[in-house]
Amino acid sequence: MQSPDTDAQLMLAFRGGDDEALSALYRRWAGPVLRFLERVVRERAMAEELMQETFVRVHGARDRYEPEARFSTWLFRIARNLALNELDRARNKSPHLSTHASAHEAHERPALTLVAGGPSVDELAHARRERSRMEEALTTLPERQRTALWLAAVEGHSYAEIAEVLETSPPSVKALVHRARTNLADRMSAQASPDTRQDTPRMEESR
Amino acid sequence: MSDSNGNEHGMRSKRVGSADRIDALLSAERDRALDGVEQRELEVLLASDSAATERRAAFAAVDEALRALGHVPLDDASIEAGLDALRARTAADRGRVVRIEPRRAGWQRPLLAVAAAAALMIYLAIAPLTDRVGSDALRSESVVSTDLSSDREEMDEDSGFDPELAIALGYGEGADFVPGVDNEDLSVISELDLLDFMSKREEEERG
Repeated sequence: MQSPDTDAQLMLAFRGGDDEALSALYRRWAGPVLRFLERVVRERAMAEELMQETFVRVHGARDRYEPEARFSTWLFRIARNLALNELDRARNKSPHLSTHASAHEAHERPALTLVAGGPSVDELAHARRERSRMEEALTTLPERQRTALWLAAVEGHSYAEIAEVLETSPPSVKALVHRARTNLADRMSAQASPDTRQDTPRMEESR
Repeated sequence: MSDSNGNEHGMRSKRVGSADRIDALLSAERDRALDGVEQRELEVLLASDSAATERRAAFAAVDEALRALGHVPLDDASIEAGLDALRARTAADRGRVVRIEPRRAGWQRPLLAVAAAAALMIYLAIAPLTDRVGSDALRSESVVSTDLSSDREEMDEDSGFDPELAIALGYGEGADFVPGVDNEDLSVISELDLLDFMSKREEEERG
């Protein structure tokens, strides 16, 4: 993760009229925000729209920005609020439709905008399986657990920072993260044996 | 949490009573959120309980899998396309800001009120010295209509006109209504009148 100070400096520069500073923030945070939103709404197209909207809101709120908290905390809070609003709208519009795409659907969608780092075929296959397994396990978590764990484990936010995003207390965040990790660890352990047996022929095929 | 395959419940039921405590400590350890006492407690548990060590590895695997989901960068083309879209959206927003520019006059009103209050204080300070001359001068320079009876019929009840303010500003007891002029306008007018009055007074003193 980038230094929060440089994020805040960029935001202050943008507030002062430097449009390129917002571009720099976008280049830095569009990916993390997109992946965070994917975990919340579990639909790629919606996540992309919400990511874009998040930065539009950042643009609109530039005059009100104060570097009291870490920039990314503020950013993820905007993103999560937008996502929850969108999920509420979707539920109200089509209550018979689940807003939670299955892990399989999420895994199947084309990763057109993601860059692979050049791993081998075996590594890619293994990574794909691990990713699928984790995606599936994540879908079973309540949104608050998922968000809390994501921000802690992936984004490296402190419990206090996550508490700001979730509008709760740090002890609550600690409990949410603990529950989320425990749930995922249990599920990953339970899935490990059958998946390993299934994975072996696939790995051989990939070679 | 319910489980689709029942493995989690069975697994958790086999765990000893301190398992939740171990999980909580291990989770907080991963987030670097342990205090000194908790750190020592965890070290003792890890030294005496092999299950705790396995659990620690399971939590590490969960975090690693999560980070694998989260640390795939966006490609440059997607970033630039997103930035172009953001610029287009925010250009429209900038236009909207320009269009609503007149609304900024709203926050200027308090400034006018402060200026009016200052003018009032100045006037009240000098009024005892210039009572007769001042009221005559103000009235002679005033834009206040003297045909009050006809104007009063056209008076808007919501004009916000304050007769006491008019009197205090030197318009005299008869000037309890100024057609088409509200308090804010009156304050501005009074400032101009006071300046004229001060000039006249200086001329009189010199003469």
